Amino acid sequence: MRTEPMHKISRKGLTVWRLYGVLQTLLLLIVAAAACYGTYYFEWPSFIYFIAVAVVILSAVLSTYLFPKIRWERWRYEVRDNEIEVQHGLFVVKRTLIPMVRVQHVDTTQGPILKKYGLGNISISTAATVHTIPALVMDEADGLRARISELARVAEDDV
Amino acid sequence: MSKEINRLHPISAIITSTKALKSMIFPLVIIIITNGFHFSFNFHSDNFWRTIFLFGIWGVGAILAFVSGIVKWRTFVYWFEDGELRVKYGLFVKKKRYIPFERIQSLNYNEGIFHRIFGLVKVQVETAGSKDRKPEVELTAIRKAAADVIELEMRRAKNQVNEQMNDEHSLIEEVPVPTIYHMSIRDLLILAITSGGIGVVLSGVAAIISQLSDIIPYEEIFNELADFAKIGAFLVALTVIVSLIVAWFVSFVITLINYYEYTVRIEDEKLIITKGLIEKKRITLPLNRIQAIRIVENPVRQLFGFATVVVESAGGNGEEGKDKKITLFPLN
Repeated sequence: MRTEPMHKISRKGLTVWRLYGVLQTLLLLIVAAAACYGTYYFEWPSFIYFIAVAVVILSAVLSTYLFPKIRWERWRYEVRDNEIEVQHGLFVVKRTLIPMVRVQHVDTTQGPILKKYGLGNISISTAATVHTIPALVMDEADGLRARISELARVAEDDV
Repeated sequence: MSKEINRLHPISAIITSTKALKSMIFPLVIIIITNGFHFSFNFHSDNFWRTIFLFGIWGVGAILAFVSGIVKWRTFVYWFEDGELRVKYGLFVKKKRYIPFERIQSLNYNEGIFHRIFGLVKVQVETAGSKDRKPEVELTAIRKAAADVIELEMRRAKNQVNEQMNDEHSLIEEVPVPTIYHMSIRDLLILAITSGGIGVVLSGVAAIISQLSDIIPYEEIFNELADFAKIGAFLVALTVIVSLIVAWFVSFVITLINYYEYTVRIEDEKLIITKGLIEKKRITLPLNRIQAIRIVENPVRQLFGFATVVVESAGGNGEEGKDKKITLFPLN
């Protein structure tokens, strides 16, 4: 088996993912609070309290701590002369090889949170699929994009 | 290569918002009708607040549509660099897209009525990566000159590659553009007569009717129809036939307008299709990007000795693809 792709994504990416996790937990918290209120008000069975609390705690632990960590550990990418290799996954690790020849165009996306950390997502579109490398440092993303487009051009036209 | 940053024409803000507004007209009509026209701007009337409320909601929607149109126009920029078309847009979520000229599958110019008044053109750029059946880049409205610049840049990028390969080959060989096919008025009429657009029109009518089902008292109509049927099957048949003819006539006119001045040319290894009476369309497709050619003969057209030639490209996206595909050649 070949060695893993070289680059990891930025450490700040982990922070951003944690932030997403926090937001998600807050959202769940609101739902859970509503459920608890409903239980209290309409005298639903009391096990609903436990479920609500359990869900919030689980989400807090998993989506703000564990999952981002594993995901970040797993995420790797490497841009070689003729191909791009990405590896990602939470439990199931997936490695994808994108031949340069097949690259159609490249997008970068940057939302408000990512912008605050100077990060950006880069999406590589082929004829059939779109592959996204998340949370790259913006300079790195721009450089990568430039390299991909340069290499993609050299390759003979193909759909 | 020019690195100046281009914007869309200000009119595009209006076009974008009117497009959004257009989709809001129907709900407005529904609101007015379902309220039974009980509207009043008299402060003392009972209906005053309801009127204000309904129109208020619609007004907010309209303002949002307008603002989003302006925002889109203000934030959208495009430029050419390193043989790529680059666009940047988005207010909060900033998106950049980079398309190498070599990867462009087709380049479409559309001139709607709005565009024609101001001498503008809508440009759609497609690559094979068409994911959600939308063009990769859509420049809502730019000046024709600016649109020509895009093509110029594309050609220049291509020529540079050629130059590297063989220097002596001259770049500018202005071959007189051969027209492959130009649809004569007679052919156009035949196309319109045999067009299968009836189904489309009928389903459109059906859609409208089903939308109106709340308003139209079907029960009564049905009872009347029952009486009507008693008068005779002949009358029923006649009505059906008349409505079919009307539907066919509508599709006839639509086809006539859409395919007016249909011309196919080959220029610079590119297939160029132009058509349209009110809304002019122009589709550019590099020849080496064509994936398949199909010849379709429907029974009616076989009678006249005509066939449809369909050119498929990888960038082809559903509806739009139809435009680029259908070309009609006499087969003989």
